[in-house]
Amino acid sequence: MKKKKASKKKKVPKKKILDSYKKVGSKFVSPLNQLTNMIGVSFYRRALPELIWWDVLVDEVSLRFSTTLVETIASFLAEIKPPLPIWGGFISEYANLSDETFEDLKKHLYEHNLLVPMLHALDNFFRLYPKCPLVRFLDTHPPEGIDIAYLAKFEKRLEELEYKRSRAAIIMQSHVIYAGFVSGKLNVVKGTSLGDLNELSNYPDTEESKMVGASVCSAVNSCVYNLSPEFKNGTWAVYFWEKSYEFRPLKWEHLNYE
Amino acid sequence: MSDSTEKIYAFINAINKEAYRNLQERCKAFVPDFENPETFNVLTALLARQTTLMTEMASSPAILNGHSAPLFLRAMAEVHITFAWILLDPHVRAKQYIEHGLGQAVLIIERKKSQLESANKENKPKLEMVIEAEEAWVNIQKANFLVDVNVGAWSGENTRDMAIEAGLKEFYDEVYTVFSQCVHSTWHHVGKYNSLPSDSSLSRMIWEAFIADNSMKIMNLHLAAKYLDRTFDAFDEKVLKRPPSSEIRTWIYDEIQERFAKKDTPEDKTNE
Repeated sequence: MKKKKASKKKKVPKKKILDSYKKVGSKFVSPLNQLTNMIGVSFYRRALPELIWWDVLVDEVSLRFSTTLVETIASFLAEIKPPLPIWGGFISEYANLSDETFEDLKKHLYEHNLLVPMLHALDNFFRLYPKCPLVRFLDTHPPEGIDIAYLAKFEKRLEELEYKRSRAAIIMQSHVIYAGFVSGKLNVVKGTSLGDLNELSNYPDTEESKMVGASVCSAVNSCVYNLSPEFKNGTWAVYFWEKSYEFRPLKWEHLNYE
Repeated sequence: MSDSTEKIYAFINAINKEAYRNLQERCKAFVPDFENPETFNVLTALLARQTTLMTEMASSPAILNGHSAPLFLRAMAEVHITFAWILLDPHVRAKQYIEHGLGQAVLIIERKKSQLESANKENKPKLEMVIEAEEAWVNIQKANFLVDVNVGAWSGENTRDMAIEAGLKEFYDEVYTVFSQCVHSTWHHVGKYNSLPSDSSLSRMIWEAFIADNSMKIMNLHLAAKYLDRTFDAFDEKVLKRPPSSEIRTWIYDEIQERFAKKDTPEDKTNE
């Protein structure tokens, strides 16, 4: 009897676990960490407090307003000589501006009819965080007294912003990218997804908008750390979370044993 | 339910309540540092872990024997050493502890992904769910593509060295090492609890497999309470900067006297 020849199936070699990681001692270094000396900046912890005012403005006024505002601020800052290493998108940047530049910017925004609506929109936010560097825009001390209803609304929005790929978070982050474009400090090759910020109006409903959103996220993540010394120290971000904790301190009630 | 069973359940309930109360009081007293939130997160989590181990033991009187209690007591000893070692440089070491944990999660994810390639139709959705859940857990803490996987000891040191650095050499020798015998089922443990020489001198060469007495030893509960006290006390001294004040072991002892000690009856007194 003739033996049937077993059909030769080519075995696809199984991919090894952590194949793309580089072994250094007992550690497997992730592919991205091999490429760069990237310092992991937590979006939630550091970037979110820096950008949150854009979400407040979008929510309280409109995206059109916040876009006009960021454009006006970024083009104003870009004109300053010698050039300042700031884009105008991050809250901490406003702690570093000289009094003179700040007053000029304030006047500029007033003349463009942007200062009053901006301060009106940020009123409740300032009540929550009276030491926010943006209170320098006010002529007086920040208003006192917290609106409980606003706090609840703010908390709800923060919940959405926690997820950096949510629509609100992508829109919020896109402001700083737009500031980079306007000031000429961020340049992208024509045709790349980051250049098409308008597509974000469809986020996350189209594949294209998702690509733009992902580019925004990674651009913010990669440039955020180097933007300003104040940001590096994280003074505002730490204050933001401390203050937020005061509003909703842990009560540890779940440790009441019944 | 018999009276005595009811009494035991009431006692377990009271122990858990007391342990939780101690944990809660310490968590409340610890003000988070938002520059280093990892320190807060890790230290309170380890306190909760130690409390869990103790209350789980207390809630399961059947395991308070030489076979099972050491499994818990060794885990408690390790939590205490880990805790004390982190306290020596909390900001750095708490981060290190978390990084290692995230790396373990990434490793598990990678293994599951590899299983996914050959998984059948029935298992695939389940595996995908596990991967998704694990990835979500990592990503809320750190983007998973930035996580390195450390397959060595999380601290970079062995437990003995950690204990020495934390001034716990004696504790390591007398507690951790002793209970490790049971955890690793070494002959030191198995030869006592699961084997014994034959009764007859004629066959003494052969040891008989057996299962040693598994009756409850209340001492094991006292030890668990003692280790919980130690960890709480370290937290009091090093974190809350106050004198150590955990007295769960004493409290348990007093409660046992109160609830279970035979009360003097007039008859007993006559006999005296």
